[in-house]
Amino acid sequence: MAEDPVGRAAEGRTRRRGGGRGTGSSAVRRSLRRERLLGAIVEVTAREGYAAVTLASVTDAAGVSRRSFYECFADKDACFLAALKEQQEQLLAGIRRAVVREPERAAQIAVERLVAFASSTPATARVLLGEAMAAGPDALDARDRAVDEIGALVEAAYDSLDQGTPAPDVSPSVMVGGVCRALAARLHRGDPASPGLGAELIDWLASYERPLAAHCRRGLRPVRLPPAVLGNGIVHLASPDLAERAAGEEVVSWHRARILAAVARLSERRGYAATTVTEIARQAGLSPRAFYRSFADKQEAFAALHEQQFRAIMAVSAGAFFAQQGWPERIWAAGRAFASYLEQNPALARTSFIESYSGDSERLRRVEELVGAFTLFLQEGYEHGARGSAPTAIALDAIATTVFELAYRYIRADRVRELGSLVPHSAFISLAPFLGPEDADRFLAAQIESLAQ
Amino acid sequence: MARRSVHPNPTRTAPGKGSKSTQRERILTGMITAANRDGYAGASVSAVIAEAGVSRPTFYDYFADRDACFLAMIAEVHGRLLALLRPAVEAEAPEHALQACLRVLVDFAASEPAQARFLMNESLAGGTSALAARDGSIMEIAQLVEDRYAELKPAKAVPDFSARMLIGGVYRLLAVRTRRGDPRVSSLVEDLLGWVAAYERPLKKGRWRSLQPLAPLAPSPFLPEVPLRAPPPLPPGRPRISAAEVAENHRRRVLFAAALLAEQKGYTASTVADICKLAGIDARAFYAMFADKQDAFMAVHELGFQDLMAVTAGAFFAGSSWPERSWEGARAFTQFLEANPTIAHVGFVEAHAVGPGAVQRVEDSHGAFTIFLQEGLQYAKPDPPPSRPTMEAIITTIFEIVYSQARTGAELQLSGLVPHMTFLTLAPFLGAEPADAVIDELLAGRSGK
Repeated sequence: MAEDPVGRAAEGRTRRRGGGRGTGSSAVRRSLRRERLLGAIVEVTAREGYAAVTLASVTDAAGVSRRSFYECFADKDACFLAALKEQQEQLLAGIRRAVVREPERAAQIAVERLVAFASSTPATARVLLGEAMAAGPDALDARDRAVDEIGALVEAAYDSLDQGTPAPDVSPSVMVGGVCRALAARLHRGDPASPGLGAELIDWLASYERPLAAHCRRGLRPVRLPPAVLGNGIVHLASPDLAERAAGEEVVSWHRARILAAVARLSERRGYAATTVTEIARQAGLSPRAFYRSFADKQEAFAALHEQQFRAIMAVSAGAFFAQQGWPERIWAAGRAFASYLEQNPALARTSFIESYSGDSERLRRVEELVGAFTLFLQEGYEHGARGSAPTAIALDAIATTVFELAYRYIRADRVRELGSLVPHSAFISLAPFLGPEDADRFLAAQIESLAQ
Repeated sequence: MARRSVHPNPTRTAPGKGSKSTQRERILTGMITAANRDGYAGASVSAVIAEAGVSRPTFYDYFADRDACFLAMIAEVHGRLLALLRPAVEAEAPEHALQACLRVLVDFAASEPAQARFLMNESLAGGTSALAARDGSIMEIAQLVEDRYAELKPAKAVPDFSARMLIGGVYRLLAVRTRRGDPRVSSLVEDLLGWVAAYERPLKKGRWRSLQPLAPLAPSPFLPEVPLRAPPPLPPGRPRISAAEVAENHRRRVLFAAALLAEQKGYTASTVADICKLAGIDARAFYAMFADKQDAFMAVHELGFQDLMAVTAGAFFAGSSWPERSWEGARAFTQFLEANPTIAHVGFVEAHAVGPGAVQRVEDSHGAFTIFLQEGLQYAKPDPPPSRPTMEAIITTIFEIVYSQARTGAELQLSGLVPHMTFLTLAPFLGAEPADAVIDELLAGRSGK
C-alpha cells in the first residue's frame, strides 16, 4: 500500500472496481475503507481546497459509501483531522529516527525531511503544510502541535549534546513553522520544491549558528522595551458608525467601507467559517442585495478586508523603515513599529494573522504572497553582505515566514501584547543572515541600550 | 541687519569671482545664499538684503518683490548653465548630445554647488511660477538635445527615452546631492553615462522617447476600496462615540483639509486658520494634535507616502518574477495616484515646499522606492550591476514623470505610461531589447489581469 494518501485513494478505487467485497473480516474491510477515505480527503483537498470539499467528493474518490463514511468519521472535519494526524505521525517518526542518529544536526534534519516531503509528494505536502491551516481551528491546533513536537525533538537533541556544539540560535518550533509556510507558499505557486532547496535552507540556518552555551535567542526571552511611537501619519481603518449617508456614486464606496468594517468585526468575534453574508450585511446596516452589489461572495469581502489590513500593516512598517538611515536601523524600526501596531490593534492582528488564512487555494496563495511582501525590507541587506554566501530567495522567504510564525504563535495564544518584547529576536532573524550573528547581536544590544536611556 | 550701501557703484563690471559686482548681482547672490540656507520661504526680502548688503529701497529698484527676484535668479543660473551646455553639445557628435548635457550638469553641480542647488532644489519650493521656470529650464536643455538628434540618420543610436524626463530626473538627483553638500558629486558622471547607455537603440527603432501614453491598463485588483477622503463631520450630540474616535475623526479631517489646501492654494499660502476652517474644527483642537502647519502637512505627506508604498508593495508581490512585479507595482502605483490626485499633488508637486527641516523626510520617501529595484540585482545579476546612483536616477525620473503630469492640473493619465516606466526600470538590468520583449509579453498577456 502506498504511503502517499493521494496514491492510496487511487489504488483503493482500482481495487474496489476490481471486485466486490475483497477478502478478510469486516473489521479489516472497514479499516481499508478508512484508509481510502483518509487518502481521498487529502486528494480532494489538494485538488479543490478544503473549503470546497464535500462529503460526496470524498466518498466518490474513495469508492466508499456515505454510510461507510459515517461508520468511520463523524464529519468532514473529523476525517480531515485524522488524515492530518496520520501524515504528521509519519513525518515525525522519520524525523525522530534521524535525529536520534545525528542529534547535532537536529534542526537541519527537520528541514531536510520537510523539503524531502514537499518534493516527493507535493500534493500531500501542500495539504499538510498549507491547506491544513485553512481547515478550521482544530486543524490549526493539530498543525501547531505537530510543529511543536518537531521543535521539542530538536530541543531534546540539543539537551543531549555537549554545550559547545554549534547550533542555530533560533526557536526550533518557530523555525519549523516558518519553513513549513515557506514550502507551502512555493507549492501553492506551483514552484517545485526541489531537493536543492534543502541545501539552501541549511545554509540559511547556518547563519544563526553559535555554540549551544552561547544561545540567547532560542528561548525567546522577553526583552522589556518602551513601546514604539507610531507617527502622526497613520490613519486607522474607518469605523462604520461614523459614516453618514453619502450621495450618488459615493454610496457604493461607503457601502464597501462599511461592509469591510463589518467583516472585520465579525471575523474577530466569530471567525471566517462561521460568518455569513446575511450577518455581514446586518452588521453593516445594509441589505444582502447591497452586499452583493459590492462583493460576489463572503470570500471576496474577506479578501478585500485582508488586502486593506495588509496595506495598513505594510504602511506602518514602511513608514518606520524609511524614517531611518542605515539598513539595520531600518529593520529595527520597522520591527518595532510592526509589533507596536499589532499590539494596539489586536483585532486586526487576529484577523490578518489567523482568519486571513481561509478560502480557496487562490486566496491562500495571495495570503502567502503578502507575507512574502515583507522580504522587500530584506533586499537592502545584500549591500551589507558581511557573510561569504548571501541568502538565496528561499532563505529570504523563510526569514519572512519565520517572523510571521513567531507573531502568529503569540497572537493565537492571546499574547499579542508581548510582541514588542520579542522584537530583538525577530530582528535577529532578519539581520543575522546578512550581518552574521555576532554583529547582529552587537547592533541589537546597542539599540536596546539607547532605548534604556 | 541691513548695511546701508555707502558707495553706490555705477560701473557695471563683468561678473566673476572676486570682482566687484553690481548691486543687482549682489542681490541675486544674496537670494541664492538665503534660499539655500532657509529655503524659499526663508528667503524674504529682509534676508536677501542682509546677505547682499543693500538697502530695502535699493532692492525694490531692481525687483518688484521677492518672487520676482527669485525667478530672476532662476533665469540667471539657467542662462549660465545654458552657456556651458551649448558649446558642449555642439562639440560632441549629435548622438551623444544627451551625454554631453549630463556631463555639464554634473560638472556644474560640482563646481558651482550653490547655484546648482538653487536651480535644481530650491526652485521646487518656490510655488507655481518657480516650478514653471525650473521646468522651462529643463525643457530648453532637452530641446538642445532634440535639435541635435534631428540632424541624425535614423540608424544612429540614442537613449530611447524622453530627454526632458531624463534631464528632470537628473535635476532631482543633483538636487539631493547639492542640498546635502555631497563632495563626491563629480563621480556621478560615470554612473549616469552608464545609466543612459542602457536605453540606447537606433532612432528609427525608438519606442519610448515620445512618452506617448498607451491605452490605460485594466484596473489593478490591488487598489484600495475607497479613495482616501475626509470623513464627514460627526453628527451632533454624539452619545456612543468614544473620545478616541472623536480625536481620530478630527485628525483625519485636519489631514485631508491640509492636503486639499496644499493642492488648491499651495502649502506656502495656506495657514492653520485655513486648515481649521476647512476641517471644521477649532484651533485648540488643531494644536492639540499638531505643532504647526508643517507638522500637519508632513503628516499628510507621510500618510500619502505610506499608502502609496503599501499599495505598490501589495501589487508588486502579485507578480511571479521581478519584471512582472515591477509591472504590477507600477500599475497599482500609477492607478492609485490617478484615483487620489490630491495625494499625487501633495507628494510630488507641493512636497518640497514644506521647508528645509522636513525636506529630508520628503527626499527619503522618494528614495524609498528604489527598494522595488533591489530584487533586480538578484534576478538579473547584470554585469556590471546598476549602481546605487543609477537606481536612484530611475526612480527620480519616474517621479519627474508623475510630477509633470500632476502639474498640468488636468486629470492624471499615468497608467498609460506604465510600459515606459517599466522600460526605464528594466533596461539597465536586462538590456533594452530583453526589456522590450518582457513588456510586449506583459502587454499582450496580462494587461487584463
